[in-house]
Amino acid sequence: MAHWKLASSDHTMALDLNAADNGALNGALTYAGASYNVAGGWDAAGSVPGRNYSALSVSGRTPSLPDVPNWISASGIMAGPGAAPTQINIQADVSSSSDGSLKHYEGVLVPA
Amino acid sequence: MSTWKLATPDFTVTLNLNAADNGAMNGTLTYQGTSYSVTGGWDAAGSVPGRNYSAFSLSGRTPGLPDVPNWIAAAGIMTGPGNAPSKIDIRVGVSSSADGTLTRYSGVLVPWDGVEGIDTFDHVVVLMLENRSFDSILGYMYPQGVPPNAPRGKTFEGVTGKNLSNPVPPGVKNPPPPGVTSIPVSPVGTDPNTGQQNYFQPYPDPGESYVHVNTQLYNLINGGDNPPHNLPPQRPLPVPPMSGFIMDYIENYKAEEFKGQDPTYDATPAQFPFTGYKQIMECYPTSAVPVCTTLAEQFGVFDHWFCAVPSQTWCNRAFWNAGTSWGFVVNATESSDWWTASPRWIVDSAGRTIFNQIQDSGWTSPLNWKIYSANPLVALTSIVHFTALAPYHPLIPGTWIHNPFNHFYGFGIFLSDCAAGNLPFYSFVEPRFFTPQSDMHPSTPGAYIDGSGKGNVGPVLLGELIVWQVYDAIRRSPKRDKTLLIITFDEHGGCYDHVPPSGSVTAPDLKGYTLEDDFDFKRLGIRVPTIMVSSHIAPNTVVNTPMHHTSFMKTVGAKWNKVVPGSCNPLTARVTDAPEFSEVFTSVAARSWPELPKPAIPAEFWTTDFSQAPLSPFQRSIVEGASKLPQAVEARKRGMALRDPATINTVGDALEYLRSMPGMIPEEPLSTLK
Repeated sequence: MAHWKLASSDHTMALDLNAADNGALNGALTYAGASYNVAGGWDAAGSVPGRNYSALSVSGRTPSLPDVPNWISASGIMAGPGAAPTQINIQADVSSSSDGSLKHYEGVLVPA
Repeated sequence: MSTWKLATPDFTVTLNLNAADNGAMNGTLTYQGTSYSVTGGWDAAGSVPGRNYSAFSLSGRTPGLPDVPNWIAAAGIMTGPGNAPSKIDIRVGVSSSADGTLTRYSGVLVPWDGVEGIDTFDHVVVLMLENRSFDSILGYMYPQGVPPNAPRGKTFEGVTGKNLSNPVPPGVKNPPPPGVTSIPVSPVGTDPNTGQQNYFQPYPDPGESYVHVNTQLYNLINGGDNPPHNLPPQRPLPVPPMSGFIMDYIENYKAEEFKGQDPTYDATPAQFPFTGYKQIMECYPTSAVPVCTTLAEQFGVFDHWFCAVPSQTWCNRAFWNAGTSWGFVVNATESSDWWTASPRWIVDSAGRTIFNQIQDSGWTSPLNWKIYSANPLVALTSIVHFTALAPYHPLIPGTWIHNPFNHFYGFGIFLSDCAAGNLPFYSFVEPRFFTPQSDMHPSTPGAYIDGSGKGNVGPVLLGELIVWQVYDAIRRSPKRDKTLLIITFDEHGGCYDHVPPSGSVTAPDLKGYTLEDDFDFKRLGIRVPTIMVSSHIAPNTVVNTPMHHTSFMKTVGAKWNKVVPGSCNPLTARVTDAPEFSEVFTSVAARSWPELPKPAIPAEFWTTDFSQAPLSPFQRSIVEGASKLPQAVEARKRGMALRDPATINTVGDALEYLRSMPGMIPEEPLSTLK
């Protein structure tokens, strides 16, 4: 089990995840000040021939019930060892059950 | 629990999800034809004050371990009740562990019946023509590029705007004008004698066997029939520069076509069709091949479809239906042991084909596949797959008795099967191979008599006619919306193309087979035109993804495995590793098929005597193959005098020979093409 804690330089997006050896991811994403509980997975680069990059995806929602949640999904490419990522290129989308909007984010996360 | 089935109208994204009442979701999301197992959640609009929209998110990956997965994430807004969504606005992101790319997509999904692109058809018709490269027939398409609203592919790999050329070999006997060292690609022109479109180029037939193709790829003559078979010494082989078409055309002209003569540089109108070597760089303008180019534009075209072997007809046709050529690289008549006491092609070609797979699947229909040919008793497919298809020949093997399990029929039967809605699951259509041939094969020397004074009716025009006939028959068939038509070519046949084929493809399983010319089968052949027509393919569809001949077996095999599990598993490793072509399907809703003008053939053509046309090497291979068919063998056993096929030199004699074989079904009349 490793702990990934990275954020964009302006802290628009932050990531605080437990990365299990079996590839499961769970924890929190913070986007524009709102926190989301997320789960997903990743695969480590180099562990299979042709797998040249560590790719991941997670999805989840703002916590607590009953409420008016936002839902988030994110995919990315992680650089560095699984125990200590040095960078994540991330793209995320957020859907709002309040106003029906869809927002997109792209950025680079570095160790926070 | 409810099921959400929605798709974008062009199948870019499909959703097939279980949506639980507690908000959990799981199922399958496909993006650009790739399937992902996903989980996530959603919340229903209206169940809580202020929750005005149903929002969701999902994530997951391509299934299977260990592998090189893509990961996907999606978020969206669903409209409509939870048990029957009417629309989803979706945002998708994908990360690739192979190349590290991040891609994204946004679109609108609408209700979908769950039928995926590959499931939109019940019948597949393959018309395989002969010996034309992609550039030769389709290279001049899309001169302005692909329209921005094209559903697939934003580029088109044609010849326009690329300044493509090949060098003239130094020291050529009939050199080009001073200062000319290379010849650019140009359109096939008109006959200056009549002003009509020339449908014969290139004339005579370019080289097409393995060693000739190597010269075309590398502009090198190095060993010829002996190692290294015109290949450069470097290993791995460098990317081919596609620069030796002129060199090879000149060499083949002198050695095989007009023996001992040197071609001139340019056209000689008095000797129409032109024999200048300049013509090997000519490609047909779209106006000359309106049926092919209109179908490619109105439906789907693959601009990176490669034939299986950098060589000839028999091997490439074998790969289409069997996924291998059992180590053979050239047509059987050019194999040194084909006509010996134990011809290796007969023994080694006993391997199963996709026809055998369908036959053995236990499906209830007695006619679930058919091969249509102008000469059903000697269809080329029956000769190439001599042993594997023998039980399904028109005659019971070794007898002259009609075979109740016959699967070979004439082209006229194809037309009536279309009209009656009786197409089988798989129809393989052979064009007419004998002069006047409708297979588009470049003509052998002297075969241009079929056009001399008869309105230039060359093989390309007759090829256009059979493409039109097949298309129009399906267009008017009651099974049109459930039929996929594939128009393709066996090989490039020495015609110019500018895209290097892949040098790292999976070889079929070749243990125990002799590798002819030392070829390892890890290189593909040159690009060929491949067009797909379906009610579920939108206009201007261009598939850029590289495909090759075994993509056919891979894709339809996967489809038919859904009908009878395990029936159509890949027959060889080449098939296993082939890419599927399912991304060509772009429309959930069925579209119409436009009516196309029928190619005009001058009336006098139909009464022309072609009997004295010389037999080409390819046509000879069919005659000699027919002489080995079971009924011919049986005839000789019974003491019947059959002519030695080696003494047959004209098309008239060839057809007479075939008619003389016991139990022969007469060749269909030329008027079938009308």
